[in-house]
Amino acid sequence: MKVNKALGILFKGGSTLAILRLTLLTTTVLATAFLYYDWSVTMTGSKPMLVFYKWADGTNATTIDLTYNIFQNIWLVDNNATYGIKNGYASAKTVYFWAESCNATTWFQNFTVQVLDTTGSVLATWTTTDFSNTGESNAVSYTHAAGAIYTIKVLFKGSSSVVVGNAVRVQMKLKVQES
Amino acid sequence: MSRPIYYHELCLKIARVPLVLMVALSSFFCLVKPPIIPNVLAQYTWTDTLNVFHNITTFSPNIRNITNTYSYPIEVKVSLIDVDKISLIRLYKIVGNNTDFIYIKDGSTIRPDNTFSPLQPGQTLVFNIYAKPSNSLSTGETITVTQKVELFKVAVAPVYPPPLIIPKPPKMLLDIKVYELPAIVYLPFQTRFHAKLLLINKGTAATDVKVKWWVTDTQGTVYPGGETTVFISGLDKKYLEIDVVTPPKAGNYTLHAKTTEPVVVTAESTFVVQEIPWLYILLAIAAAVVTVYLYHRRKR
Repeated sequence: MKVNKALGILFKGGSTLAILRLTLLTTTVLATAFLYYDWSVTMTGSKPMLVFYKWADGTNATTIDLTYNIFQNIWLVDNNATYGIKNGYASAKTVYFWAESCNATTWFQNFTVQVLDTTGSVLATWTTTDFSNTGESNAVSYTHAAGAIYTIKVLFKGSSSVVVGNAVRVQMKLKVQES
Repeated sequence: MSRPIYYHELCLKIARVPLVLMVALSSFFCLVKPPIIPNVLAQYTWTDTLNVFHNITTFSPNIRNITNTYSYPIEVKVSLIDVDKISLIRLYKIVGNNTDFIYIKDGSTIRPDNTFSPLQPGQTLVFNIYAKPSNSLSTGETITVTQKVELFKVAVAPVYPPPLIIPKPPKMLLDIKVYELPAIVYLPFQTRFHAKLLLINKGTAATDVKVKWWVTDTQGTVYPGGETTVFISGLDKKYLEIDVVTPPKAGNYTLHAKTTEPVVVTAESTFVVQEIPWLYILLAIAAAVVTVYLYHRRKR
């Protein structure tokens, strides 16, 4: 009885306290997070170990443009593209490559890219007649020996859809596991 | 010997502390130290490093993963907190279980956060990162992206007992009409006359209907009528013959009928009271007597 009376006195005229208690209660109900992580990702600018190697001057590149003429119904074969592929890692790497896209798929009767080892043997061939097999799921792979520089061979045959003066662009992608 | 201080007296003394001070303390507490989230179990810090290369997309599969070891579904929210050199990023994307959580492209934040829900008990959320710097990033230079990962218990709507469905009583739909009423009532011969009321129960429940009737003149004077109770089945009708006392004077009158229970419905119809003078009556009687007398005399 005494305690009840005392509590009544304490809370009497304490509407602000009541509001505070209500605030506490509301906050408790809304706070449902129970686990959280601070996640920082630091990206360091680095030089890649598997690169395109320019035969002419020995420089490295991470992206290349190969430019050719294309003719109707004629094969064009580049047995040794301007750039090769160099594996700078100390171990062999599995390299994947594929065509990602083509902006004029009807221009080709055939489009093929091959990787040849130092003896001229074909290690991998990506080929298409209609570019229906683009994308990583259709990648081909080969094993690139440590320190080796391999040759890129490009060959294609234009179709009757080729328009003189226009250009077609085929985007190729190459993937390697870093470590 | 000093008198003991009771608890309520002590509280009274405390209560004398100026209320302003208490409010100030309360506000201070509220503002500076919000209540601790009661359900936080742990806090972790993840730190990951990637090498990034000009013109090359670095893909880090399964860089982190979260397995729901709880017995209930959870949701995982990833939010971008800070990027120290966002202009040097050509691509930064955190993907987990086919959900894009954070996406930065060409120095701009495309998606700052996303939530995966629900992560079922035992299910694992695998985070992958795609990253590509701009060619302005120097070798050895770093970019740090800070994000926050929060796990929530999936909010489940409270289950309430199904509402108690109290069947509503059928709605009572009654109608009343004055079905038959003489157009003219003659005094002094008709001191009372009969009228017929039609009661229609449009509802499905049978009910007792209390009916009242009375007469008013054009001045609003009320002449008492009667009252009775009629039982009507659901979707049924009933004719009620009532006895009406003729108002004592000639004039135009209105018969009012009204149901008072279970619902109030009214109806009315007018009639005329005509009064035949006694002189005419006596003359008619005399004429009748003379006619009878002459008839008998001729027979003889």
